[in-house]
Amino acid sequence: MSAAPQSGAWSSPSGSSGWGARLSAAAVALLLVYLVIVPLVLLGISSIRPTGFPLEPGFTLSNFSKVFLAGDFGRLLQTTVLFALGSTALAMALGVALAWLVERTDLPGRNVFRVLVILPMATPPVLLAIGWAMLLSPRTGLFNLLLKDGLGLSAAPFNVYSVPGMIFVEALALVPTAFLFLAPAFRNMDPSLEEAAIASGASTWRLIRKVLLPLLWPALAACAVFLLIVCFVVFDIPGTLGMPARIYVLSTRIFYLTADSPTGVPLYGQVSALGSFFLLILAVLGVAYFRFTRESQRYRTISGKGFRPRQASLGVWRWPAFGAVSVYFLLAVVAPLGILIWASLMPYQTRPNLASLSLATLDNHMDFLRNARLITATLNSLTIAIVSATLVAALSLIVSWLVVRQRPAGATLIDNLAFAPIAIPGVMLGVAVIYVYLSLDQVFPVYGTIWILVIAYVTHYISFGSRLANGVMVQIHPELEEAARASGAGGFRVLARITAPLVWPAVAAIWIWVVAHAMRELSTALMLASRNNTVLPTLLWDYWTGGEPTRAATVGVWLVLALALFLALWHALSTRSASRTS
Amino acid sequence: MRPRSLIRATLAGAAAALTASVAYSQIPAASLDQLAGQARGKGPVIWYESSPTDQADKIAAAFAKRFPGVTLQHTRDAGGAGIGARVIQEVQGNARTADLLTGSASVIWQLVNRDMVVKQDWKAMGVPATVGTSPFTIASTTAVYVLLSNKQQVSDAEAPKNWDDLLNPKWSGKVGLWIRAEPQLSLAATWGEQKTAAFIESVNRQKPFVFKSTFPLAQQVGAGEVPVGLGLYHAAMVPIQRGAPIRFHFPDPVPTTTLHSAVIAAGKNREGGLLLALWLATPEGAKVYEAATGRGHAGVDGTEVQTLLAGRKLTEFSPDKVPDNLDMFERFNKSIAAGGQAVK
Repeated sequence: MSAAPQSGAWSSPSGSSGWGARLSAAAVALLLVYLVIVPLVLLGISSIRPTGFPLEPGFTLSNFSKVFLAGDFGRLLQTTVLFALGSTALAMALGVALAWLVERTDLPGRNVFRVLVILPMATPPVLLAIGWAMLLSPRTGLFNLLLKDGLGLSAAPFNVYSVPGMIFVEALALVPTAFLFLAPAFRNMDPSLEEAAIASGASTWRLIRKVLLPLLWPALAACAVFLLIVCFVVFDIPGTLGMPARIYVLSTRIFYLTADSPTGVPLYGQVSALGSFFLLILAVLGVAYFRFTRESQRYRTISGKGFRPRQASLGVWRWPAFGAVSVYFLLAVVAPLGILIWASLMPYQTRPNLASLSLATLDNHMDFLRNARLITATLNSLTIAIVSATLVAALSLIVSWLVVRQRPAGATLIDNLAFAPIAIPGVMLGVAVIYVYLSLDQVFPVYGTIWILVIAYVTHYISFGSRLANGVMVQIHPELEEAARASGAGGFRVLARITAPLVWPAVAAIWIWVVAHAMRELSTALMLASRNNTVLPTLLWDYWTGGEPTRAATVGVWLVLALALFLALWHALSTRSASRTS
Repeated sequence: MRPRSLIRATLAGAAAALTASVAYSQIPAASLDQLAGQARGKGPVIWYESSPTDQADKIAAAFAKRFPGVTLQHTRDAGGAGIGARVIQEVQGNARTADLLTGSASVIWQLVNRDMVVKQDWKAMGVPATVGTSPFTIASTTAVYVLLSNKQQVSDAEAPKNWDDLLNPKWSGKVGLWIRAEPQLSLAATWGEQKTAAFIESVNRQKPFVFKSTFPLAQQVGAGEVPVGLGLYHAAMVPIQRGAPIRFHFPDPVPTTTLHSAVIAAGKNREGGLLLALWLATPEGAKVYEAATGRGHAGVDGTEVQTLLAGRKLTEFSPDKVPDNLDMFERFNKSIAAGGQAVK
């Protein structure tokens, strides 16, 4: 296809779109409506049904009154906000520091750290929480015991079963996501702006305030908003560390209404009413997000001029920075993974000490390797993760290209549709997807197969993918695409040959993130589980809820190992590919 | 709220039924074989139940061996409440659903209220009244609550042996509980709501840890994080069998929760579902289930759990009274979830 630069079928740099973009936008919008709106409609219907089951008769608003007029709703909200803000702030601080150190400084071993930073994502949050409970529980936590004995304290200095404990572990779990959001933005910053500021005599603080922060603002805002919403809906860590101490957040209340309903069936009506509250939060945060990024064109830094990102010299701070990053990895990877390895070698859960060492056995690992279901679960997990990640990455790129670059009619709708699923709790998404595909079972028989998980994961993760792709896309100046069009390239050719390679780090980041999260996703998988779509997290859950934490830890260890090998392979291939093309 | 007198009457009946000597299940083998013949060729028997899949595989293997040509396909739902929701959704969506569901009475009654369960004449099938617990349900297994303690942190003399022992101030902040008030509900069958509610509040003042499941509760007792707790016998046996330093005592009375089975009307192999339900109520099936899951059938002679419970006073509501007690159950649940003081 050929197109004139200004009057082509696809778009002009100013954002006016041609028929091709409009057609693509319509197709993408339809797909997103199908993936997102249908579940949301079911969520809405559920909230006004007396039983909460969308296909049952009746109308009521009592689900809302039961949820929002409950005496403890204010306290619940307060705890949720505190947890979400605290976790987001800590994850952002650590993520920004890591992204800057790895991408823009001469930190020793930064290439290794770039790979390692993904590793915590391989640890299912439930296992991370269990690991930290074994390290920081007040009575038997290893770190607490060491500190008590070492410092002669009368009481344990830390208690992981607390809001600060939940914030700490949640932040550790979210740092890789923050890094993946922010690293491409740091990497893509045009150093000429920094150099100009420095040449003009700007102080470091002024450089940060006047140049770096404005340049990073879209990515920072997108990341913060994303993490904040994740923290509002996340269950695993507050469920593991908060519920034993009766500290509830909105997500654990949803779990309570779903799994521990005294009526014998989940109170989906109240769950959906709470889900509508999540949507309200999303709407507020979404408005904030769009306001933050409205003038994002100001921050474009990747242009047709070649550049290498400016690398800051840490000087005497080089090795202290190395030490600080190492401590982070100690806390995020080594300590929890170490305790999981320890647990996997034990016949039952016990604290690490010399006396327990005599109990060490490889039985759990041998059982694991002999388990026939493992092969099926592993293959299912890999297939689901890879297919979901590829679809999310491709769809995110197209959504972002339409929303940021083409701006056809309905672009804002597409952006909102792509963002909305993040506010649907995994449990509710599972319920909605069940209804949709039970209804379509005769024509589209995916219920009970791995493909229903793929559909659910694509729906769930498109929010992350589109936010990350948008954050990077706004940094890229359209002059390269304009040049390609001027040379006669068509719309998809420009997307494939110019835009996609420029946003490749972001696309790769989306892909890795989705693979890692799909490999460990539990709440939706449990809702959609059947005999034929067993995945590793449901196998792990089987062991955990069956009273075998050591076998659960074994699955976790192998899961982390498999993902680590996978990431190493991916890194090797991408490095070789980069060296060939450079 | 129900009048106390009525509650007491139902409780007394349920408790008496459970403490009475249970009858031997006399389900004729011929009728099982006849059912097996009807179940063959109708596809696998789909069974929704809460046991881990590894355990269910052992049951499925024994079932297939006993009834050649009839295969069992187990789908696990550990959440309890979700298992009923799954059937409701599948029935409403006209999809293949369970032939047999095994769960708590509160779950099954949600299906009964939606006409999703097949009514049975258990007596005609040779099922004793203590096992055929209602026209819709047959008892399949019994969950038994015990007081747990860590052997290394709590001496034999100190270990809680009865209900009041949990209120000893020395256990403040050291008691583990299940977040679901199942044992307390069963306790109310003997104590009544008022006394049970007061007991729950007293335990709350001990600032207990609450757990989503009794399995991690038992693990944490074994690990020493919560030196004492109120848990399930079969959940505690998992770490105990692996060597964890856990001991248990039966309190007086011993709360139990019977899990019942119900044949789903929309199931494609209802005969297979009924066959499985009946087989689980025979000494052979009950022993297979107990060996695989550690959870035995108190209503069937020869099971380990029956031996364990012999001579003890048990307490539980009968299944048909469960719908009337849901409000009380909810109050107990809320008290446990909201009570006490968060560990800071």
